[in-house]
This record gives sequence, C-alpha cells and structure tokens, in this order.
Amino acid sequence: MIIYPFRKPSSSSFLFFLFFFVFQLLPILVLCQQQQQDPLHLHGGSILAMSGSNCIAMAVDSRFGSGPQMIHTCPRTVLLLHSRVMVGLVGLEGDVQSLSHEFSVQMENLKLRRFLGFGFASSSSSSSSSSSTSSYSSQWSKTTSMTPKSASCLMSHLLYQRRTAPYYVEPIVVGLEEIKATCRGQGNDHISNDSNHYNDDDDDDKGDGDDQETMIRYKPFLCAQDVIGAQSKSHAFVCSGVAKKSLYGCAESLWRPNLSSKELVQVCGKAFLSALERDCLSGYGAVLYLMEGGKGIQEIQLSCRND
Amino acid sequence: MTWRHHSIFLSLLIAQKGIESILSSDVSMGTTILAVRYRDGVVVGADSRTSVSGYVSNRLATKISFILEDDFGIYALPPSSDVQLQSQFLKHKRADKASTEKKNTESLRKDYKSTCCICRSGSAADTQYLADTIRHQLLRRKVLHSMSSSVSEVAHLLKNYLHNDSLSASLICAGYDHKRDKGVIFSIDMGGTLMEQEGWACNGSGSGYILGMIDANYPDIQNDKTSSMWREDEAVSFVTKAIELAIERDGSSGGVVRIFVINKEGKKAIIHRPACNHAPKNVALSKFAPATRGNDLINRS
Repeated sequence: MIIYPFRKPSSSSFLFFLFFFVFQLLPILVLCQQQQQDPLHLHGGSILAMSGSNCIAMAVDSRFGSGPQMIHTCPRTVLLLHSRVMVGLVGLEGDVQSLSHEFSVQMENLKLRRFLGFGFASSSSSSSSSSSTSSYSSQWSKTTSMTPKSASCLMSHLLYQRRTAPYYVEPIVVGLEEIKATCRGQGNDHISNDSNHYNDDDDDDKGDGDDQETMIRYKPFLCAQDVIGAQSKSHAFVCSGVAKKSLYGCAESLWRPNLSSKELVQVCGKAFLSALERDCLSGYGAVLYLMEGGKGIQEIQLSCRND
Repeated sequence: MTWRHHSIFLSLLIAQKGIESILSSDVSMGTTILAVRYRDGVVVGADSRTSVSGYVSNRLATKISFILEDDFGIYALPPSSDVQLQSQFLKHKRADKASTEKKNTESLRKDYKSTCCICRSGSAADTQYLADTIRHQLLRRKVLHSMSSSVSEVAHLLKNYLHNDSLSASLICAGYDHKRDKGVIFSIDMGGTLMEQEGWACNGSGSGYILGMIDANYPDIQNDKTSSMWREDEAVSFVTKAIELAIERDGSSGGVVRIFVINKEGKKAIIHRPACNHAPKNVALSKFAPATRGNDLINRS
C-alpha cells in the first residue's frame, strides 16, 4: 500500500488528486478497453453439414489450438445418438465437454424413463398406471430412437437454461426423419414425427400389419444453434465455427438439390476443404460422417493440408 | 493500487495481446521467416500466408523482396574507358554460354555485386512501403553516384527508416555482400534494433516454435570454419524442414515455402509445397486441387 501523507484539504489537494488518479489509473483504464478475446475463437474449429436425397453429410475439422498455436489434432466432438441423429459441437472445448456430458445425462434419463427436468411428474416405477403415463412409457420403450427435432429442442433447452452465463458452444443437430409412405390407392403419407408425436403407437401397428408396400423415405433435418439455443433450420446446409462465413459462401455456391450419397461426399468435402484453405483457426484434417437412410453412418477421412 | 499490482496487470495485458494478434483487423503477415548462412552465401525462406482477423486474404504471398539485384535493367555508364568493357559484356550475354567461353566471361565478371533481399514480417503495408522506398534510394545511388551498395549498407539504411518512423515491421536483411565476399544476415526489430547474426536469424509469429530446433541443428561456425558450414543442398533442406514445422504449429503461417538461394552468382528460387496428411485410410477427393498446385506460383520479387 502506498501511504500518502495526510494533508489538509487545500488547493494543492486538487493537484494531488490529478496526479494520483488521472496519471496512474487512467492509462490502465484505457488499456482495459482492449478487445476481450472471443471465447468462440480461442480453440478454433468448424463444422459443415449438408443434405442430399435420403442422406446427410457432416464434415468436421481436427484442429485444437490456443489462439494461433496448434496444440493437438483430434476430430471435433460429434455425438452419435443413434444411426439417424448426430450432434456436432464446436466452440470453447471445456464447454463442449460439459455440454456433451449434460446432453448424454439427459439421454440416459430418457432411456430409463425418468422424466426429470422436463416438467413431467417423476414416475419412479410404472406402478402409476393411468392410461396417459402407460402410453408414454410404452412409447419410449418401443422407440428407443429420438427424432432429430426432439434432439434439437433438447439441445436448445440445455443452452437456454444458461442464458446469463452461456456455454460458448455452437451446436449443429442433424438427422433423418423417417417418412413411411404406404401406397393405398391415393397414396397417403403417414408422417411419423412432428406434431403427432404421441400417436406413433397407432401408426406403427397399422403399417406393420398390412400387405401394402411401405416405402420409407428419409427427410433430412438440419439445424444450427447459437450459444443460447436459437435454432435455425435449413433444408440445404448449415455451418458453425470460426470459418462459418467462408463455409456459408462455399456451400451456397456448390450445393444443389437431390444429391446422391457419392455426390454429396464430394460436394460437402470440397466445400469444406475450400473454406478451410482460407481460415487460420481450422484445418489439420477433415472427417466426413455420411448418414444414409437405412444404412447407418460411415466415417470418411479426407486428405487435407496441415497448416 | 501499488506498483506491484501495476506490473502484474500490465504483464497480463501483454500476454493477452499476444493471443489477440491473430485477430487484429489490419492486414498483417503473421509469418515465419528464416535466413541461414551456408558455404557460398545465404539461404532465405518464408511461408506464404497473409491474414486479416483470422481470414486468409492471400495464401500465396511473397514475403521476400529483393532490394539489390545484379541487373536492375539499368546500367550506370562508367567513364569512357569502360565502355568497351560494357559492350563486350553485353555481347557475351547475348552469345551462347558454351563451356569454352566460360573463361572469358569469368574474367569479365570479376566484380560481383551484392544481392540483397529483405524478409518482411509485421504489417504488410508498412513493410511494402519500406521495401519500395529502400529500393528506390539504392537505385538512385547507383544511377547518380555509380556506387554499388552492399548488404550492410542496406541494413543500416533500413534501420534508420524504422527507427525514425513508428512502423510495425520486423525484418531480416540477408544476402551476399561483395565487400566482405560472404553471406551476411542482419535482423532488424520493431524499434529499429540492428543486429548482425553470425549464422542464422528467424523472425515472425511462427519463429518461436523452431528456435530450439535450429539451435540443435545448426553447425558450430566459430572462427569461420568453412568446412563445418553447410553445402547448398543441406541448407535448402534444412530451411524447408524448419519452415514446414513452423507452418504446422502456427495458425498465422501457411501455404507454400518460398526459398531463395543467394550467392555471388545471384539468386535462385525454389518453391516447396508441404505434404498433405496422407494417412493410408485418407480419401482424396476427385479433381480437387489443394491450394498449392497450378500456375499461380509465379515468383515475383
């Protein structure tokens, strides 16, 4: 502590004030106004997801760095819920790990039929057998797969829970929604998702027992979110990460509708690598996850520059 | 607030500034530049990335500018007794350089001139301005006063410019010096500090990652033991490897490795493309050219 000698208030005390506060604290306050570093740009990384006909490709890069320095090359975190939903996470790595853990915990809770955190009454056993709860529990036991829309809503909910001190993560939720088309004369489509969420039981039973052809088409679902969970959906492509602007430009110029899965790999890979050429904070390897309806997820490593 | 708090606070701010440097909004050449001496001269190398707040604005930039070259295209005519020499020299230049004529050309070309380049790092605008101004000054000196400058004179002139103006530039001035008949390397820092480096110099944001590696591998050349100095091919492969390693670690360095071999004969350009990561299971996309292939690698100094 600097101890200044006690002075009687006088005109010279104004000079004392000037000297102490203005010349010592003001430079520090001025330096304080430097830009705070954006947490989303600390570790780097980018993701691009594109849709084709009955398939989706998600390309992720492999750079983990601290500002300009590259520390490690390992692919970005991609949560594979099941063969038809993927969640890619990019941003501050600590928050990515926390968020993916929280998301997995929620998925576990749903699997074990503990509806904690969703506002439902907690039913520790299935003894409470009102018709509504039994249909919920049988609903979840039959379809262990979550729809991409629900996954997206869950992720948005988790992010918005931390509105005031957010997770610095920009997730991308992609998936394939099953559309069962039963050909009966006029060819009615029973869409097994969206608003008729809780009536799936009935539709499933009808579809299986009939002799008519049931073609399963897969409708791609793509959704990017910001740090507090605002969803922006697209039928074509979504991007996230530090190279977001370049990726949007590349994808916009290269995408076209109804790409087959082989074409989609080429288009998505080329758009992704082209944008990565122009970004300092992404690169060092690209992994493409190709999700095809009915066939599962395939991992493809692309050869890429190491700068 | 005590002085101790001052110093801690300021040191934290300086550390933060280092991390922020990659996201500054002016065009900066966060870069890796390296110059090493070898037996007959110097080998200089640089990466080729220029970036603006994390976006690569030029991925094939040239950061090595030549200030002194053997022929500017302008010959300051010496006194009349030398006109004959001049015309003979031009005749030989036009004629075929057969091995029988080597003797004659060598005797004419006894006076080698300095070849000097500067490797630029820092703000692109400032360093381009410096290179152009210095080149103009030296050309003026050669035309008006018929004085050929040496690398040492170039370095001192640069230092005066940097010291007087507040430019954000950090340079390596290297080349073959005809007055000393060997390769020389000068390193000029941001405030105008001029240091002549005995064996090698490296600068830029990516230089910190390779300092230890160069220290370990550069031969000991005390007392000018030329036998322990590298040959040209060893020096070129070393510079290539060093800059490749820096490109791999540093986010603001990238692209190709541009190398120049400078000796008394002049300069020679080499461009090296770092390898892609071709693990066996990697797939290369069809007809996708990585950035560093094609006709756009024309060397313009």
